[in-house]
Amino acid sequence: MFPIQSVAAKAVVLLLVTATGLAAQDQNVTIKGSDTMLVMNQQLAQEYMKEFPGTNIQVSGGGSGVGIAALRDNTTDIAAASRLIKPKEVQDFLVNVGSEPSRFSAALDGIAIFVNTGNPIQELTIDQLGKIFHGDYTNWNQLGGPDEEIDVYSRENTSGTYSYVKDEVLKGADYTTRAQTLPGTAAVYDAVSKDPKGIGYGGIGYNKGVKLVSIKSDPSSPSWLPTEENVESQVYPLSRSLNYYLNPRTTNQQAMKFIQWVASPAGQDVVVKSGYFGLPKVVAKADEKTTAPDSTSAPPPPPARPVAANPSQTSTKPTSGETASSPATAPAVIAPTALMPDPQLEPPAPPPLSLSEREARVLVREEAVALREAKVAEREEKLEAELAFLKTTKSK
Amino acid sequence: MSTPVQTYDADSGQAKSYTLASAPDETARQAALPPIIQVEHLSLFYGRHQALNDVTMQIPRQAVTAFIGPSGCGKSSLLRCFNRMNDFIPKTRVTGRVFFQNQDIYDQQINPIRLRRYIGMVFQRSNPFPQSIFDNVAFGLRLHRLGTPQEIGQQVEICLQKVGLWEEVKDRLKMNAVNLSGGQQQRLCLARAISINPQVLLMDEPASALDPVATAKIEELILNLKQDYTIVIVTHNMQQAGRVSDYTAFFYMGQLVEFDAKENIFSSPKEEATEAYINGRFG
Amino acid sequence: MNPTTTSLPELSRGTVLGFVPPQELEKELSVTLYERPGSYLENAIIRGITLISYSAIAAVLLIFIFIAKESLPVLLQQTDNSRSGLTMKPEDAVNKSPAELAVFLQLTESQVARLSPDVLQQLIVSRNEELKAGNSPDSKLNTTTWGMMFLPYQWEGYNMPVFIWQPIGNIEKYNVIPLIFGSLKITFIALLFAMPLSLMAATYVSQLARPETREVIKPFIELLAGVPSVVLGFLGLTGLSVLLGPLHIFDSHYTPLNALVAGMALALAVIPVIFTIAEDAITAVPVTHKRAALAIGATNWHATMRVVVPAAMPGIFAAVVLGFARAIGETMVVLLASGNAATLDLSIFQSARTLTATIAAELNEAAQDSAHYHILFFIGTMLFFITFLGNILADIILQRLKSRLEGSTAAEAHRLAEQAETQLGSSVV
Repeated sequence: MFPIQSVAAKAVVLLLVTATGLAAQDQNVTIKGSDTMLVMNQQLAQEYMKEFPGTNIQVSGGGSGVGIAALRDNTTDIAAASRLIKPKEVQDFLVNVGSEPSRFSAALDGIAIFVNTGNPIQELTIDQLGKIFHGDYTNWNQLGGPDEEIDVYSRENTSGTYSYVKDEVLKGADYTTRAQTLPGTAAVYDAVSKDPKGIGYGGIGYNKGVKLVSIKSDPSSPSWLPTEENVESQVYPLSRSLNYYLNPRTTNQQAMKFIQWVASPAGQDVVVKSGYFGLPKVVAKADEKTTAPDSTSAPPPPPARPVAANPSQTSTKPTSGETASSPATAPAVIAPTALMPDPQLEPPAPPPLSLSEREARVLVREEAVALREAKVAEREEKLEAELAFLKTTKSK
Repeated sequence: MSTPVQTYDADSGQAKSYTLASAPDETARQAALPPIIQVEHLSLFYGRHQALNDVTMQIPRQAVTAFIGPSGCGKSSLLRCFNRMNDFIPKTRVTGRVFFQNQDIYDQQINPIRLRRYIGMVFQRSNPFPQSIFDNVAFGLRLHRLGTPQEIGQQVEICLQKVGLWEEVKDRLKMNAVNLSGGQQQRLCLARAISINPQVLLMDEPASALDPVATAKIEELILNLKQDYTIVIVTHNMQQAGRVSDYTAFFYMGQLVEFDAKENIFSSPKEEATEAYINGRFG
Repeated sequence: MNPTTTSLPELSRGTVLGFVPPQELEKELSVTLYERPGSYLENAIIRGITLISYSAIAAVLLIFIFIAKESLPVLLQQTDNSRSGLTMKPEDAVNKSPAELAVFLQLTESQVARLSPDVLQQLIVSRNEELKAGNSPDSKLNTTTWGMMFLPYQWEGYNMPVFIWQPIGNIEKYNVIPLIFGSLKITFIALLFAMPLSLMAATYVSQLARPETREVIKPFIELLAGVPSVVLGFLGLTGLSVLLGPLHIFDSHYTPLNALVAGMALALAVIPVIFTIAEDAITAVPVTHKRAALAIGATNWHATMRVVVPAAMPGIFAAVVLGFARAIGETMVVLLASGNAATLDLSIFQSARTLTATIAAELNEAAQDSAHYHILFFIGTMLFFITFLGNILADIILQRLKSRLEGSTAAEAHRLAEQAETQLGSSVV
């Protein structure tokens, strides 16, 4: 026991020294944005602060858009976003900041579609769902349910989930004007749990007191529930990655460290505990994906979870394959080298069918921000070097 | 037949009685009628302060009775006892009895609101409602559901004529009453009070806030109105009491010192205090 | 010796307080009568207070200017979010004039001039994506025109012209009619509950209650004003919505969070406002009015209802106007309890979205200088004007009431009415 404790104590002391020695003003990291990610972020922050005492991570919600706006205004270090940054926002950044923020996946999320526990509806197609949310279907009996009006519960339009469902389910069409917008995912779950006629959507992490509906892409395909396996294997049609956007102006090393830590096994454990799904173990998956691009048209049975490969151990490998694969999974790896994809080595992105149009567009942009990321990585290396230096001086 | 008027000696506490035998014919005629209000051993307390001390008197019918005395002597308090307006002053306590037409108005069963329909009151400061002149006079009639709208209209006219206001306001009956002058307002209040034909009209220093011309008009009115109503008037102004009253009661320190026909009080008061007050030596 | 005759001449002049010898009076008067009244400190304080009073006007003006400035692009119809659908090759950027680029990127020329070629190319890439995203014919529309904001339009995918507020998405839809409707609907419901309750309570407390009862009830109602509106909203969200659940039998479209729930929760915020001012106005009616009525044989109830309350009408009216302003300006309660669906449904059992809740929910999100951002400020300007118009209307009606009740006796009630009115300005937005 004693040696372990003393090692731990040394580590703590070392960390404290490095932390205070490197940048005393960088002990505070602010994370703002997605309400979907709020609980997860809070738990991550708590765990991180436990592991690295002396650091202070402040987490607040407001919606993905709010987070990105705060990032633009330089009032937060990290924006949490349950959706991808919009072109308008990118332009906003380019004009005002001169560069766009870099994206890091933190977790996977299935957008659960849920109804009241008393509702007999078991499964819906994306098309049916779109018609419900658009207001074409107004009565459950049009879908084989009881003769009752459908109450649609939606999120505020600042929500990333709102945009995601508008893009992926409604295909850009409007929500019905009768859709009630509630502040927060938990409020939607709560409302549907009380309303026998209700239907709502939201991150799976808040799942409580409602009945999840199986979703199928089209009437002939099998339907899937947003379970861990189904989301990670991309067979669940409404999967997305939950992202962090790093402030391009920040000099806060702690922010980068936090993002890296989230991708580490320790961080991913917290992610899973908070009700979301861990990032897939990319290296194995990436190969699989590129070799079977038609995997979603005829989804394979949910594969067993691959053996965890620590991303930090695979960090020396070139990552050209990652950006080529589904961005829902590819940018998930945020080990240091992932920050520095080599544009020369990058083949043109093949169109994987699981890729949403929007996410494909991101790939182009990611190339554009490679330079920026390289800078971040450079800083990171510097930090590592300093750490190493301190280690050597300390061990004397 | 003379009516004995009783009071208590201020010093000894002994009951005294006065006989209105020396009153002139007119007064004798009134005195022959049974009194409309009888006060028996009335004491009034505001909290601990005793405002009236064992007053016993009788208010004669269809005459003007004036209450005089220095400030704080209890004359206004007694007036308010007659229509139980003292009820609205917190912590008021009354002992003794007041009979109005042989009904004990301090009886538990009595509804004071009903009483006030028969005993009208005019206050020191004119207080017309912020409504039209017509509505002011018609208020009581409508309140007690007296008459049809046509009858109410006639009654309003009659009352305004009685108080001499009709010629002045007949073209602007819909005008807000608060735009009238002070004297007009007071006469309007008088019209309002008599509109429901009360038996007794109580006046609490009705002219004290008015100029001499308006005061003269009010006094003239009082003399006219006594044909129809029993009037009790409280006044600071002894000349006024001399001009308008038939009987005069002098109060001092919460006690009724002397009560007699006006002529007797002013020419040959029996009490020294009365004489001193009448002659302006105090008060 | 008689001391009074001897002692006076012995006293020095200074010891006789205030005595000025006749021969010096003229000289002294020529100085003292021309002195400025008051000390310097006194005058300075009065100046300061005056300045502070005027600064209230300045504050209202500045707020208005700030809001109006941000909504100016909408008011002047300078915003344009139409998309031609034509893209531009990033490598062409160098060949294009700054004016062309500015039009394409929806920026000003000075902004374009500031950007490096590298950033410019990235911008073009991003703009291309945006332009390609929506290929609906509606994307060629400028949805920020007056017509689009106030008149119905048949969007692609709809079979009739509709009023739609959906500012997020490929086609931004900015029709504000559902929001105005929602605000008025919820305000109306709130006043429907708050007005009778608070006016009855004010009358009761001021005129009918025994003094001991009054001392208990009055502070409790006024305490209601101290309840944070977010708490009231939460009460609506979790309490009232469940409590009123059984009402769903009246409407097949019943939703648990609806205008009735929000209106009732809002009423709780409005009641203390109306109550406090109305109670003051009723109490300010001179007691002589009531006495006169009582002396003529009126019951307490009659005297109160036929004399006192009518005399307090201007104050009561002002109280209601202030309550209206509070209701239409209240944000948190409606944001939480109304369900926020931007419908045009008349049913009180259905959701409604208000102007204030829309600003609160969306302003954080809106990119600065975007059409959405300017339109949200335009909504703020509208709110300002709605209250402003209400103010003017109230003033006109107040003047009429006043002239009807003119006179010294009603002056107190009028003073209160005016006081309440001046508070209106600060409660906007």
